[in-house]
Amino acid sequence: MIKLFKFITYILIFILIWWAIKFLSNTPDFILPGPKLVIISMFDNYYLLFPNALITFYEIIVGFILGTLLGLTTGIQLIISKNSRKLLLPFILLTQAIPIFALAPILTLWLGYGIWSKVIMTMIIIYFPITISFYEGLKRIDPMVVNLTNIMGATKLSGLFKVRIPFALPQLSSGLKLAAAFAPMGAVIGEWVGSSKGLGYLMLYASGRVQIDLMFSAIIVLAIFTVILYNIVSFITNQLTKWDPKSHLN
Amino acid sequence: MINRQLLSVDGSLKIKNKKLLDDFSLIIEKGRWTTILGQSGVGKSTLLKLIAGLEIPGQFRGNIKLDSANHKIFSWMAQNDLLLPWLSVTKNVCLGQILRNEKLDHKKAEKLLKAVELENISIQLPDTLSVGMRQRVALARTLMEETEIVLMDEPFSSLDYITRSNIQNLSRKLLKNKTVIMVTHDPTEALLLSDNLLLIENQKLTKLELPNSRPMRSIKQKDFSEYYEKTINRLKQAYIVS
Repeated sequence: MIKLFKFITYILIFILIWWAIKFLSNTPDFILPGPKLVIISMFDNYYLLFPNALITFYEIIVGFILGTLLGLTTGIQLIISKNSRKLLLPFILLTQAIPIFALAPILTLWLGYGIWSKVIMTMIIIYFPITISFYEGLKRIDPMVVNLTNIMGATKLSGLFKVRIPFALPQLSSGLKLAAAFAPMGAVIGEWVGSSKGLGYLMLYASGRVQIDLMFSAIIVLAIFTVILYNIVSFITNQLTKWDPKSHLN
Repeated sequence: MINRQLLSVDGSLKIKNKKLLDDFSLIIEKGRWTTILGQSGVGKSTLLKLIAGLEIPGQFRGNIKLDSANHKIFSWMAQNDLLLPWLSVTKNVCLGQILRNEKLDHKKAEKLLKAVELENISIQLPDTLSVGMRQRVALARTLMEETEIVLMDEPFSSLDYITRSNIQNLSRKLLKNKTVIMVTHDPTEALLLSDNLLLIENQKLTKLELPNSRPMRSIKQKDFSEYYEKTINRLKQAYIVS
C-alpha cells in the first residue's frame, strides 16, 4: 500500500515538473505538449496505441525470454568449459562493441520487417548483461564449498544446479533487472529502422505528422510497460534471492 | 593399544619449487583422533586436501593407501561453516543426500541437531544463526555423512574462546571412536582433542609425546602445563628451522 502511494506520488511530482516546465517556458504544443494534452491524446488515440503497443510488448517479451535463455545457457557453457571461455568471451564482447543502430538495418534486411528482427535486436541488447552477470556469479563460489560438495559425492550436474547456480542468483538478478530496463530499447530501435507496426513505428509516424502529443503518448505507454516489466522481474528475482540480505537493502 | 591401520600416506609434497613435506610418512589408525600441528603455510591444509583426493595447488609424489570397504570415506569440516544460505538448517544437514539425489532423512537430521544442542531451528536459514550455532550445524552435517574418516581443517579457529571450548567438547563427545584427521596451528586444541599428535617440522611429520591418560583435559593442570610447554617449544623450534 505504501509502495503504491509512493509510486503515485512520484508520478504526480513528474507530471507537476513537466507542467511547470511547459508553463514557465511557454513552449508551444508542437514542441512540448502539456500533460493534459498528452493524456487526452492517449484516450483519443487508443485505437492506434493499443494494437501497436501489443506488438511491441510481444516483441519485447519474446526477445527477453529468448535472450535470457541464451544468456543463461552461455553462462553455464562458459563456466563448464575452458575452451568455450576462450572461444565465446571475445564474441560476447563483440556483441557490445558493434553499435546497435548499425546492426538494426542489417537484421531488417536479413529477417524482414516482421517481429523477428526486433526480437533479435532485443536479444542482442540483453544478452551481454545477462551472460556476464550470470557467468561472474557462477565464478564467485567459494572454492571450499566446491571441495565440500565434491567430497560429499556431488555429480557435475547436481553441483551445478544445486549449489553453483543458486550462489549465482544474486548476481544474475542484477543482470536480469538491467535487461528488463534495456529490452524495450532493442525492440523500439528495430521498429525505427524498419517496420510497419509497433510503438517505435507509431513514434516515427506521429513525428512525421507533427503529432507530438501522440508521440509522447507512445513514449509514455512504452515507459509504463518498461516499469511494469522491471517490477515483475524484480519481484521474481527478489523471491529467488530472499536468503541473500545484500540483495534486499532498504 | 595399536588400532588397525586405516590410511597411510608417504611421499613428498611441493608447491611450485618449494618443498613442503619431503619423504614423509603418515599413518592413520582407525577410531583415533590424529592432529597435524604446524604454523601457517607449512602445508597442513594441502596435506588434508591431498588425503581427501581434492585438487591441490602443488605436486605430490608418493602413495596413499586406504584400507576400507565403506563407499563413503571422507567428510569435511572447515574453518568456515560453508552452510548454503538458501537452505534451511535441516536441509544443510542433509546436504550430502541432496547432492547425491537420495531421499532426505529428516529424522536423523533432527536427532543430530539435538545432539549438537540445537533444537527448534530446523526451518531457519543459516543467516539467522550465530557463528557458534552455524559451526554446530556444520558438525551435524559432518556427522550425518557417517563416513569412515572425518577431515577437519582448523574447524574451531574462527570461534571465540567460550564457543570454541563448547564445540570442542561437543566434537570430542560426538566423534568418539571415529577416525578424525584434524589440522590446526593451536597447540592447546591439539593437546585437548588428539589421540595422536604430529608436528610438521623440517619438512617431516614428527610424532609428539602425549600422556597416556586421555582425554587430555581430564589430567591435572600441572601435567597439562608440562605437555603444553613441551609442545610450544617444539612448535617454536619448527618455526625457527623453517
